[in-house]
Amino acid sequence: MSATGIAVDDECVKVFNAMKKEHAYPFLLFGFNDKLNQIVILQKGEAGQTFGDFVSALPKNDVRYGVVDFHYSSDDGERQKLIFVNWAPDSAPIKKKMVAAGSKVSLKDKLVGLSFEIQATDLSEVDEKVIMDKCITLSK
Amino acid sequence: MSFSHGGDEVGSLVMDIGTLNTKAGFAGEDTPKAIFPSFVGTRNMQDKMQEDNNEVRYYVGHKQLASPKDNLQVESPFENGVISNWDHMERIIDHAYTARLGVKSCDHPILMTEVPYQPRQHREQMLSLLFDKFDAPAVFLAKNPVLSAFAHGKYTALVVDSGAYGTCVTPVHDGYALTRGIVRNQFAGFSLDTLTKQLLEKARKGESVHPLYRIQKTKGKPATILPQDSNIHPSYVDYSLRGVLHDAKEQLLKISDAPFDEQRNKSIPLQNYELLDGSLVDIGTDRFVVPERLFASDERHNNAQQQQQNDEMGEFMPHQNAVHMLAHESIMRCDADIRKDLYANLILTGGTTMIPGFAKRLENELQARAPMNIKVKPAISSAALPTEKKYSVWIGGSILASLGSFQQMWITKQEYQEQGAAIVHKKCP
Repeated sequence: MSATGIAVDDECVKVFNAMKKEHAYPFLLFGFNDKLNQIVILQKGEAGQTFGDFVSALPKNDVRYGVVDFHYSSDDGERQKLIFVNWAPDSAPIKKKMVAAGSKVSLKDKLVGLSFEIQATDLSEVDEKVIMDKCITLSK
Repeated sequence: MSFSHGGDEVGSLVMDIGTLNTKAGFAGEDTPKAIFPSFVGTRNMQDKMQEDNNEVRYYVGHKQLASPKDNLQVESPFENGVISNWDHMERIIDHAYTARLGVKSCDHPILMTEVPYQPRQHREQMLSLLFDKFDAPAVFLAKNPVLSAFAHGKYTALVVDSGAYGTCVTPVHDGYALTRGIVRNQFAGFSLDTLTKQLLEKARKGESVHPLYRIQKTKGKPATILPQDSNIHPSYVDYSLRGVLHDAKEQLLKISDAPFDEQRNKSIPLQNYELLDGSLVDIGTDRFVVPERLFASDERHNNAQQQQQNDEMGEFMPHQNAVHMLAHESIMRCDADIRKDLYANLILTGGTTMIPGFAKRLENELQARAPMNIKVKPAISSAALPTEKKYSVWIGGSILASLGSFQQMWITKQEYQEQGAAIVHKKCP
């Protein structure tokens, strides 16, 4: 249980599983409903969208949880990993930052099969190269 | 939480009782409604007619402690950073409820913040105090560093809290304070008060610094100093001095980016400062020398012969002054795979971290001791926030306690009655 008691909409898990099994979406963005009592899906990346599109979809003044179907090439050839991104920029309202940080475990615990997670507060932390390096380090 | 009471919905309360100040207010608000000293004045009222009738009178809050009274003794409910006087603690909580918030304690759920090294038995005692003495309908205890981290949007962070009594470093991972990594000392604001007093007295050529109560100001005239009164208890003098020293600390102290070399900085310009009593002093290198003690890493203190007290939770290292050594030690006690995240997510909280230069110096010292491939990221500091937002612990508690979904998190009176005080370890991990 998370510190906030905020629940996860079942749809989040369903869509994530489709992403995992069928590679149906290049990325997913989760956030909160208006009542601030549930984690819901806010955006599903469309076929053909890139990692750059995922980064562009991160709002400047709000929090998001993201999952990216990250493809990269290493010495062993083409590889793929599912990465969890916690997006909480400094400029987001303090209430949203608090709720997002306090509820993260609720969502993450339900998404089985993630490789690693990133706690990002600015764009330098979601840089494609930084993430690729981490993927390669972890594969070693 | 909205507890229904007589048809009216009532909100929750949030209290953060620090070693210097108590912050109390209503959940959902941006700032604590009340901020008052966490001190209790006691005075024996000897009845001249009946010698055996000794009544003790208590004084809490700015107003009641503003003027000195014969033999008024000022005491803290804390010793070594943990609660030692529960009667005083009760008076402080009662003052918040009754005098400052103007509410009945039985009407409002209360979220109380706590230090991460609070002994288990004290956590249970706090729960019993709130339920049994104050008849609270529901209680939650939340750990300071976790609230600070959340309020900055982080669930994994190294939280450096340097307040009045001491500095405490807590690694927070996935929203939990990692007990084995908590380390603390007893060198912070109060110690700097003493050093700042010496600094000012040196600059005043030995003339002592006058406590606030002896400074009498009338508009348009220079302040006059009331004569010393031997009936004033030394603890009251200390309490009253703190107001004067606090201003001096805020105006004067600065921390150097690197270890401060007094000899090489002899020529830095003097800073002119006007004390609250109107007198002027010029301060030179001492502005840097005093807070330098926060980063004084004395190797002699690191050897195993020094006595180290091991709290039930967190290690108390009273002789370790250096903030960066505490931070380094804390990180080293954590699993290797989370260290990188801790170096990249430093959070500073507490009044002492607001001294200009604190963050930069800590980053530099940590970087110098970090592994080659590790980058220490600039710390997030509450000091950078506007004044009304700097109480990140209180605000964190305020947001948490105002969430509808938090309803299920509270320990209710019924749960307490059925399962006893030990429920706190289960529901407030």
